[in-house]
Amino acid sequence: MTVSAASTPNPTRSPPRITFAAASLYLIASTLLWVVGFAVTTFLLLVGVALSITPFGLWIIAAAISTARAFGRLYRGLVHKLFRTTLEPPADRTTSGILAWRRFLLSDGGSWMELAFLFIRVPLALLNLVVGVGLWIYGLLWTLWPLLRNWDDLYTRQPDGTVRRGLHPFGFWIDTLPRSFLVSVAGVLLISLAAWTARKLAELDMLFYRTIISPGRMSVRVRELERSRSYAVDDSAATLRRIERDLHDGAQARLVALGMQLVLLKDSLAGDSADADRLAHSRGLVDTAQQTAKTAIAELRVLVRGIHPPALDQGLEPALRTLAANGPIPTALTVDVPGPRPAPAIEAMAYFCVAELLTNAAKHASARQATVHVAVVGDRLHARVEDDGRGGARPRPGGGLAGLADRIGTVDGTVVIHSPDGGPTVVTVDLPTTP
Amino acid sequence: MRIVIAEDTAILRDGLVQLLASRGQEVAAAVGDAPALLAAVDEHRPDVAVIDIRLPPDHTDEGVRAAAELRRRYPELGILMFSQYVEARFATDLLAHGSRGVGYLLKERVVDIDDFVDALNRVAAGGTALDPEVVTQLVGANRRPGRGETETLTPREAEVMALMAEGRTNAAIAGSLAIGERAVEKHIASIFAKFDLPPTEGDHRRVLAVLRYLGVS
Repeated sequence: MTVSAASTPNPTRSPPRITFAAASLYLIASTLLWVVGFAVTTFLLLVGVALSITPFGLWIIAAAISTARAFGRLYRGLVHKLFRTTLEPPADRTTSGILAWRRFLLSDGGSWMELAFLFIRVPLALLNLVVGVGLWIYGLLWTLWPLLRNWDDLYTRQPDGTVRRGLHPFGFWIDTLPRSFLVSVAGVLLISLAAWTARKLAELDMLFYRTIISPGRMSVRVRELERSRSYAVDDSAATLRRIERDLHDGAQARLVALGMQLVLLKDSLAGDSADADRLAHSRGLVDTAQQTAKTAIAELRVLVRGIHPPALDQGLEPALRTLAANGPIPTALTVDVPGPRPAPAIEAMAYFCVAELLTNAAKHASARQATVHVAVVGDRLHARVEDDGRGGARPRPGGGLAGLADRIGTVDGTVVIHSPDGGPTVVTVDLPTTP
Repeated sequence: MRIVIAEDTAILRDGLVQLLASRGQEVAAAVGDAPALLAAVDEHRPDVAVIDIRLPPDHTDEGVRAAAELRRRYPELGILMFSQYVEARFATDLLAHGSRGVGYLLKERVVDIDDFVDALNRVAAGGTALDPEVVTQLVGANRRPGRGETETLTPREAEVMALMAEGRTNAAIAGSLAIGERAVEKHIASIFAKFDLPPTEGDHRRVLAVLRYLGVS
């Protein structure tokens, strides 16, 4: 189950203001990060692939991807700290449990992208190292040349056999203290060049991330949206089909039956209805017809509640109170929705999620009681359903929990299921207050 | 008349059995799914089978498929399809091999039990019983260019044609439209002429006109 993460903060699109110091620090830190990250991840990946014939292989590959994600996170943190600019992160995992962890990492496009980023940035990291760090080092060495020359041991044997100490670029001898200050000046120029280059390299890095990595993320996101949209369409078609079938087999059939019973009643009332036996027979038929009508009405009521609970018009809290009161197990409910009400579609989604989770708790987890907590914080609605059942709830393809997650995914919500074997189960649903 | 019923909703199945019994009909068997229907017809050899279109397990068109199988096994058996909705596709499938001994009625028609029994009798005798709703939908669904003859019918002729398509006799059509039987015969003759159907023996022209009108031939 890979439900997209909560809405990503809008990445800052304007070019970041990069200071010399920040850029230089960035070059050094990011290069170090890449040396370590590349080494660790490559090592894990190689070990994982080598062991892929054993049960450990996939676990180690997942660990490699997880490591790549960690370094990606550090890298984005560094960029944010130094340049106050946000690079779009990959979607987070929304399930708990070690198996879900592995499944998520191995199947999540965004996570593989992190791994790819670690490798394809290597040439840029090398460029940073060679040009950025190299210019800095030489700039410093040259600037300090008037001091360093004392420890220098550059001797050149000249054609006339004499040995002369000092630098001689382009045939110009720099072997006196005043002349050594020329090197110092060149060093200062080199440092400014290093600073300028560092800025350009950092900008190039950002550009690289934004043009190669972010669009990759966007395409991953677009795929997620396409999947969730097609789910929404399928889901509403399935809902309509279910309603049609419920009506067909329920109220509609009962009304036809009621018609038949009335025909029988009419037959029974024809002729001399004063006959005691006939009268008793007619009364029996009326009872049956009455019962049929009652059942049809009750079925319609249940059906209507399944489409849209009338109490939801009053708000989420009254609707959830009704739900908890009529629910299959005793349920403690707290609702904290200050301020404006969430959008009707979100309220309905939250309601049906809670309803389904409570049904699951009673039916599958054999829970004796449940706690429901619903709160709106800022522009997010959180709903937590906790039960004391036997746990072990896992989203399975085509199963109820997977369907729930898919439905929530259609509005960019997330669901986190924590359900160790033996219980308790805690399911947290997070929805935007406007779809 | 010996009848076998296939209807999966118990309350409707029981109601139908009671109603038909109250009208002196013999319900040889009332079953809930297609295999049981085939077995019951094999065993009881009824005059007519009343079949719900939606039967277990999938509740889609199991009844129609069972009807096709029954038609293959027992060409003389009357088949009355019975459903809560009219689907033009099923009606077309049903009439694909002609309208002999075929019926398609909405379940709610049971409430007019005498008309319903009348329709069953017609189907058992090799006639047709189509719900007015079925006729409307088929005419609508199969409307296409090149069927100019249907459009040349006068409003009265169209009314007569629709009732004829339902499977009514001339007397019933006359009664329903409150006109004389001679007038009905006159309209029908005019319809045959417009449909360019030469005189033949028996009811054959009538059947051809109906199928042409419904757009299934």
